[in-house]
Amino acid sequence: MVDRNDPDVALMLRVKEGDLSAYETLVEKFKQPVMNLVYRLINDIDEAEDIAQNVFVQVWKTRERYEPASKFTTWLFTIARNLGLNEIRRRTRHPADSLDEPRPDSESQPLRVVEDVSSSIPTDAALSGELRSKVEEALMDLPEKQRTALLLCREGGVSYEEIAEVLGGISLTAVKSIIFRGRAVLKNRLKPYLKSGEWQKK
Amino acid sequence: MNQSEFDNLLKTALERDLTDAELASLENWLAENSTDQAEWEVLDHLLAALPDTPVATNFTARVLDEVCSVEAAQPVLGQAWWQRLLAPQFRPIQIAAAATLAMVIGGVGYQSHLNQSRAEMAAAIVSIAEFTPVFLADIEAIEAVAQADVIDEELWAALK
Repeated sequence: MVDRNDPDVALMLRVKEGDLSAYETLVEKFKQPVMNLVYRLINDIDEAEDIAQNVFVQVWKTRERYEPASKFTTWLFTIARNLGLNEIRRRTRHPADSLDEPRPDSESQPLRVVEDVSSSIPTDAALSGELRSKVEEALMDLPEKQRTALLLCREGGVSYEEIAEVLGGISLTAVKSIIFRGRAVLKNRLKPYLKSGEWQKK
Repeated sequence: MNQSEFDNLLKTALERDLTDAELASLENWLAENSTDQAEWEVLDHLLAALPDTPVATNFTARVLDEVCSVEAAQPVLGQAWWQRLLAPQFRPIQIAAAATLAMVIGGVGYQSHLNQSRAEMAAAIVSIAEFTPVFLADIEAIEAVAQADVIDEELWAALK
């Protein structure tokens, strides 16, 4: 059982009571990690946003069933992964479906409003464009479990125990092995860049 | 473990999941070898340096709108499942359920009425059957009178 005084758990317990302002705080706090995970799971920015919104709607709909048996993020990322996997399965079944068609209920509104990325993401502080795209590419080519595990590691503050739970209750050894395999594959794919030291350029 | 064993384990990791013992060996090796450890950290750095996925500025507002419409569509969320069935959107189900209930009640009532009629008829038959022998005896006497010979008129006159 997780400490009920954990800020996220405390917020979620307020949401459970129907507190909409606590819910808004949760959405604001976790929209970015959820978007990061979902987008890199399905590799489609528009669909990722719909799914990420759906993740939070699910949190609201199922709030009464929430029990602080584990960290809030474990629950949240589990929902995010499940909805992402559903989308992957849906695409496998209906590969010809267009994801870009506007929905009939939103014809009068812009489909989405995206921040000016160039101003919000300091690209010069991270990776060069080419290396970044190579890393993204290598990440996308990983099997889903390895990718999810590495992405959760990337979020920080997500323990191996939590990752094990998000991945469907697998063992800690399995988690370590999955993460190690993922890293090994990435290391193999990115070897030329690692050796050239390009990652150090800013 | 030496460098070549470490490299072999890396190759093995590309092919299959590693065992507990293999993972422990790897962790020990990485803890003791700063060069390999550094390469591992580079990978972590690369992943951490990936930019955040852009999120729409109205993301939270849209989620809240969606939640409000969900609430409006399900105003009875906290109620039991059978109470939710009383909501207006289930009107056809309610009508069908009411019709079915009326038919069941009508059927049971009609069956009960039939059973009662049969019981009354059976009771009547039993009561008739109880005095049938006496009734039949009288019938025989009457029949005997009816079947008597024609009166001899001359004898009758003489007897008078």
